[in-house]
Amino acid sequence: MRYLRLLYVNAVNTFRRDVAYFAENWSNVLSTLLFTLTAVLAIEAIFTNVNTIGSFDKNDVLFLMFLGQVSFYLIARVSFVPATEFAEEVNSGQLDFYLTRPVPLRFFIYTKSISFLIMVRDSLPPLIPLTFIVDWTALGVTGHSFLAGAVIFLLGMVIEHCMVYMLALTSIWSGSSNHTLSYFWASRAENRMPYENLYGWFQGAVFLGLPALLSSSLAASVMLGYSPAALRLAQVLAATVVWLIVHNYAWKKAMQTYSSASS
Amino acid sequence: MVDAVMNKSRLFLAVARTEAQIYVFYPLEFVVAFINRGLAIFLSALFWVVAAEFGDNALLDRRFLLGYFLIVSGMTQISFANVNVASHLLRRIKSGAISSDLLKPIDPFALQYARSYGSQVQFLLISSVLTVVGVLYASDGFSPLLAVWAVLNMIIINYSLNRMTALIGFYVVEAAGIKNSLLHVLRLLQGMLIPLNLLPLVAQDVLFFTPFPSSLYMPIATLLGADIAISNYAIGTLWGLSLLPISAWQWKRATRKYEAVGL
Repeated sequence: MRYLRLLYVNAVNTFRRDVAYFAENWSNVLSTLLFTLTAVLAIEAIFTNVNTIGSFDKNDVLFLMFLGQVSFYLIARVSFVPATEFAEEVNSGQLDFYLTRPVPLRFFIYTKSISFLIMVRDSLPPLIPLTFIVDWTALGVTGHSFLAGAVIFLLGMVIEHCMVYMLALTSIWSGSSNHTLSYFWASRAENRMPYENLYGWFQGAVFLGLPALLSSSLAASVMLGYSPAALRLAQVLAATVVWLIVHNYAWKKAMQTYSSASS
Repeated sequence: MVDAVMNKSRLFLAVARTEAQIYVFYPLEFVVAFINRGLAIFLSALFWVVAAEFGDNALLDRRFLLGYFLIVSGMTQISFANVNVASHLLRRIKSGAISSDLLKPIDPFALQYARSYGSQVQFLLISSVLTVVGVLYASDGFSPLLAVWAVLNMIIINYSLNRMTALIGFYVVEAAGIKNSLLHVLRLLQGMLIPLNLLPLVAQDVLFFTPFPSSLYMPIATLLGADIAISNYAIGTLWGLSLLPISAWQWKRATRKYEAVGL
């Protein structure tokens, strides 16, 4: 109940802030719309030269892009923006004030600046046209493969959340994490890759430091039936457990370091 | 005249050096920025390698595509084809930090160019190396004269495009979204998303009458030894020579719009 109440208070707070400046950021909607439009045009251009890339045809790649976009808008607003704010607060000393509050610190930091309104505003305009561009009936998705892919999608997001906050935590040791947090953008530089056609070593590297490809490339491959669902699900589950353990350890170490630095 | 140019050059070099010195205090940031850029380039190159290897059309040449995207990273950084200088200036205009630049007896736009080169010295390093690697790996031989011509066109056009994008900040408070919108369109038209020779022929014919191919695609294709008509280089020069004074004139007009508390 306490956590839910905190979530509610934080959501109301960010909603009020977002509504106050809502009209100022409409150009972001245009930007996300144009990003999607140009990406779709690029895919169209690629598929005027080829019919398939590995087992993926144009429709599969568009679906892959759709998943990548959904995961981006979710993780950007749920994890990346709050983590960036957290790093700035460490840098400015603002974190001291949160440490004195009688609230569960990590949950408060995770939720205090999640902006659902901005997430919806920025994501819906580009995603809606994409849902009409993808031919859903032509996708080889079954009930089982969809379920397995959806779980992989969510676990990939959990791993990416852990990664983003671990990047932000480096500010406690180094004082600044601007470029460190930019790893998030670098790791999302390309998500149109058919997972099963990637090199073996790279498929492994995705679990270690490119979780965006788990929630896009791998999830799409499993949903479309190009990857063995049970095996991939087990691999992602194991990776999630490891990431959560490492993330918890890093958080504890960081907080101990921060306390000693302040005192 | 020569003395004035030398003095200005020394000043801009000093600004770039000062900006680069931030990494003495945050060495981790330098390393991570280096890794980030390398990763982003690697991921986009990997997509094209996969497309060439697993695509069903031999026209997608793996060697050309890999070389192309290695050089894209270098050329983008050298000429700020990603309107990065405009990004930084827009932030300075919005925050009012531009006030101190406007009071100095130097061109604030050129000053920002120097700052951007200094603060992104690590990107310049990795990009230059990758450009050389790309040329060595994929070039079929090129004319040095045409390469210099194409690179000069690119630098002049992107200088003007950055200036024209940055001045939006003097008219609109939230200009970052507009800048991002422009960037998404530029990425497609310049050949950052997809080599322009993979676009339909009609689109290529129309595009070559615009400044965009000269602002990125042309120097890369020239370095890779592609056969490009001389008239296309001339069109680039015409655009460069037209945009430079137009952007300077517009910049002058726009700065008159600027109002800041404290001036």
